[in-house]
Amino acid sequence: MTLTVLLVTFAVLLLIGMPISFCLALSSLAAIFFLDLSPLVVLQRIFAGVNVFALIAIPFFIYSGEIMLHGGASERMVRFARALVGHWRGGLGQVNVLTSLLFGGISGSAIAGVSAVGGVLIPKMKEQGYDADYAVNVTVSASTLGLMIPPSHNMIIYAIAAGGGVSVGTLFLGGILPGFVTAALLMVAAYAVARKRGYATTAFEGWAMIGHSFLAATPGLLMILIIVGGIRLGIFTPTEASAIAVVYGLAIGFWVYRELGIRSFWKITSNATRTVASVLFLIAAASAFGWVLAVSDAPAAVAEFMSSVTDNKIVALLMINAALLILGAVMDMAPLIIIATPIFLPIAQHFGMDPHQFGVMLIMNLGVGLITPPVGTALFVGCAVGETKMEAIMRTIWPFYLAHLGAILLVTFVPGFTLWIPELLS
Amino acid sequence: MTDVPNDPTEPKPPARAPGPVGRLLNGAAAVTQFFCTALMVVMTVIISWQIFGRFILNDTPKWSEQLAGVLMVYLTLLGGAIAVKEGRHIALTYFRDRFPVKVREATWVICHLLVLGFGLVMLVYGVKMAQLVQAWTIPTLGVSTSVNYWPFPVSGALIAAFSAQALVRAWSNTP
Repeated sequence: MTLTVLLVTFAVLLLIGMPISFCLALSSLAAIFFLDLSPLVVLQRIFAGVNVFALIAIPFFIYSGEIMLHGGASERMVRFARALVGHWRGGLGQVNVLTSLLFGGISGSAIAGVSAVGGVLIPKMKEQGYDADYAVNVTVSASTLGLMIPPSHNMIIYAIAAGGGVSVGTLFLGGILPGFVTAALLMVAAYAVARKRGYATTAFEGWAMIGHSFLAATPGLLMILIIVGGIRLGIFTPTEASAIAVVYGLAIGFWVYRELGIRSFWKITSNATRTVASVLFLIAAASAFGWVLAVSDAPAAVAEFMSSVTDNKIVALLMINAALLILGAVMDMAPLIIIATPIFLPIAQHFGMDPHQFGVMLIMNLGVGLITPPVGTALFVGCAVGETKMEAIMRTIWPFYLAHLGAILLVTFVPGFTLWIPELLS
Repeated sequence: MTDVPNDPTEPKPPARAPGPVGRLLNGAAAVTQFFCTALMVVMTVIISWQIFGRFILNDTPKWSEQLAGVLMVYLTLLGGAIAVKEGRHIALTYFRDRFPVKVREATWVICHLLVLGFGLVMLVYGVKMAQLVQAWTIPTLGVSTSVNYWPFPVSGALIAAFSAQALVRAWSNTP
């Protein structure tokens, strides 16, 4: 009954356009009233939800992403990717995917990826005769790659939500191969569509250009290595690594690329704070919501429902994927990780899935939600940057969805995709 | 997610200059945003100091994590209030945009009233919470545990005020 109050309040508020964070907070409050508890409980859960030391890595990774974005790293990565794959069929589409893979890792945010990579490449693609829908399709579908490539702050949220037994280092490494596989599938899709539409190709720029642009992009790429290596080797904690990423990014922006000044530093910090506050506020509200779900035995109810439908591993995992895709389409990522993990992780583990593998699968599914209406935040930003209508995008994006779904299925059913690299480096 | 444009269905603010209360609220938002940005810098310094202490001084400070954690709560709640003012909290507007205009306006008002109400809950119960734990001390910081809960009433008051401001603006705009 509490569960009904919670979910109905939530659904009604969501439907009438209440911001998601307040949908979560207000429906939790309604359920608390129904349980005859004091609203103090909600405030306590909100406090406990954010006052987690491991969470401090999130503001820092968002901050360092913002620094890299405006500190000169993104243009240099576009340049490097262009030298590498610009001459392939669908050239700038391929460049787009590769840049998202490289840059997305650093920024860790699909939305930042769309505005950073798309802002540079979508106008350029249109200029060179690519259709606007193709440019936006490639940009938004590649933007979620950053969620899989370390350092991804969403993986940290998952590690916290999953509790003990999940290591951030393993999770970070586990996302790398799925990220590359998704990128490869997206490149195939970009190639196929480009071929069908007969887009022209450009000449290879030569190895010298590759070497030159690689050197220019190295400081940015090195950051990923420092963070992943440092965490993996146990030199520093993920939180310390995230602070190092900020200091490193500032050092590069100020002294290597020389594109930062004190004014732009303050503006970047202020921008980053805005994103950080939105994400953390959602996490805070979601932890109140998650608490009510837990006390009303929702995870057990879902598990019971699933076991009444099937005891087949393949069917069960497909059902979890479908549920995550649907939830991801109507809700934002960070709160969903907190809410969905305690519900679905035990079921997946019951079928023998490794929690790291589940985490990567969860994030890939919710990533597709970011590029799917009605709450496709990255999709909307892409449409805005490309000055296109969402309807036009939705008609032609399906090859890219197929690429994502293919990658999700591989990660779901082949544990090695996630676990091979962490085992190799253990 | 901060890049989502403001909802175009929201009533436009009136063209006339803000009154004294409006100016006060805009000022409060600017000061709060400045404080949040400064918090971010301070948090970076704190954790950098922790790393420096651990590697160079061989003495890991015990207060750093605790303090950064508390500051993060401040950043979340105060920054969340700013996001209310700037209309940056993500919402699902797909369905609302398809409602008839009258219904859409009504839901807009209901949403703002509810957010205002939640702000008041945060204000009242935040003060209660802070008073409840007044006597306790955070061991590593040596200050009262109530510092954990002070951002609640402050953020709640700001959220309520900003929602009220949006409502008043929308009200005075309609002829």
